[in-house]
Amino acid sequence: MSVKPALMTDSPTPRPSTRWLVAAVALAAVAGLLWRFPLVRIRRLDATATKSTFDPRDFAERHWANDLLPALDAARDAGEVMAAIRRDSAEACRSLGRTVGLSRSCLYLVRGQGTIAEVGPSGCRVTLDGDAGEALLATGLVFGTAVRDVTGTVDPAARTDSRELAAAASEINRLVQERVIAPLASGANAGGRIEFVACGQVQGKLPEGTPWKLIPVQITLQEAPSGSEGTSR
Amino acid sequence: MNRRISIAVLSLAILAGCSKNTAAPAPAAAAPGKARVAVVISTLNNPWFVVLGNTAKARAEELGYDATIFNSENDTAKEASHFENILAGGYKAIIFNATDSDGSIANVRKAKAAGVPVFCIDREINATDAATSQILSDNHGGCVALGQHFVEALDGKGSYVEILGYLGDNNAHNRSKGFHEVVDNYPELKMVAQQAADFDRAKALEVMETLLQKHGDGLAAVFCGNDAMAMGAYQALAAAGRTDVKVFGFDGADEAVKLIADGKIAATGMQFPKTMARQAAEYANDWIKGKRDYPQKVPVAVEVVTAENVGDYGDYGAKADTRPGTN
Repeated sequence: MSVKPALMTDSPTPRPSTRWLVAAVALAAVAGLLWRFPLVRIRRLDATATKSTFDPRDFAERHWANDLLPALDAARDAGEVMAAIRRDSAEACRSLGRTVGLSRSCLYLVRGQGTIAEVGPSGCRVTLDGDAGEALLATGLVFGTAVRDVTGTVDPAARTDSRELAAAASEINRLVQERVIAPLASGANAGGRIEFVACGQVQGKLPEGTPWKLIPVQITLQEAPSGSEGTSR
Repeated sequence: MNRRISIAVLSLAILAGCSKNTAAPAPAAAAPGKARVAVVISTLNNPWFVVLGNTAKARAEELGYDATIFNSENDTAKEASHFENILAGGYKAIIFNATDSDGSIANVRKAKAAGVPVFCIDREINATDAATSQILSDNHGGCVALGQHFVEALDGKGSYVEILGYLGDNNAHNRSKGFHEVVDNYPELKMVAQQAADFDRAKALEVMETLLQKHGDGLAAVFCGNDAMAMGAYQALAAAGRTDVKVFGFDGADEAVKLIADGKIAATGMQFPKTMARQAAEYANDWIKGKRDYPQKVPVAVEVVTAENVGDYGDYGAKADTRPGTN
């Protein structure tokens, strides 16, 4: 067996410096690829939402016109509902209200009329006619899903992503704020008369000694004793 | 530039870690004569999810099934592997707590194609044509209510930090959005930092320690996307002697409810994991017995637990709960 030094010189095996060069080029190529197409991306929380064509404002407007306003005629008398809840809250919910899914709280759509006792930062307190009790109509910010869900016309599965229906609830609340609460807050005066339709949410029993907190969705104000009349809905 | 380089290095590290074997264990043999129900849970590294899984399993067993819990360890690959094993193992129904709202859809579709119903609990998947039914907490509504309590507790002013959950889950977004829908209306409430801790207690502890160093002066509150993170944040605050900082969580974990009773945590949102889990087991039972008509989504309202009403809550629910399937 003979050794052939010439072959060793001609061998394709790269010299150490060439190997380093090849490795450096390969590493640079991998780094370049990872730079251009990183395996981990850092994005803002709100930027991770799936793009959708859903328009919550449009949904809210259609819900207002097609679901909420037509449902107002079916609103129950607030005094009767309050009395029914105090008698048997579970039965009152079954017969006069509605729950969403497996939730414990019950939603009611009620109407009432009475005299405005007070308008303050916590709301517009109304003494209902017929000694039926007191209601506190919201005059500030409105949150949550009560107004969206009180009619029972919004299917929780209407959107694949529940974030969209949450956005719709916010838009519906905005409409309530603009169309009902703002005129109520600016136009209600103690001693005046009011007719209203409102949404109430009760978990268990009504609190004793305090008015029932309601979100108004329609109001008619009448100044007393000789003021002007106006409706907001 | 530096961030991209860091990402590249991190990516290489992840590539290196991908060789780790993530195969799921083979399913055990069924008890003779009993149909099998699988309970797939996103993680068991949080007592709340342990309760969710154990309750579903226990209810399924009460109904006469052989039930097995599969832990996805917050890993969609592991979750997919579990689904493969479950479908190969002849399970009749799957009670499913998804790891990722989008990433878990394919697993549910695979089960549906195999004729196996999937009942999602707690975590939503972003599809309405895959799962048989989804029983879900109203995370957005719950955090709206929690946000209102937050504003009252802080009297509408002060600086606070927010610790977010795992961003791949819709719940993290819904909770944060519901909270901000209320709190952002109060200009004197200032969020000085917002950071994710993936619903993890240990991570939240570290995050809170860091945030305390940067924003500790005058910090009035911390809002956490779940109770595990709230307890991690509380630990960090207690260690730093900052018991003046109000901690708000979400879930209704027993430990958090007890800390509210002790005046150490301000509030949480009760999610009723036992109600959701039992209902899912009953739905699975109904399916196996022939029922096919289910609501696609069943919302479960979240209730705010505070120092004022904490006596009404405990053991991952409400004491006077008369809903079907509750104690």
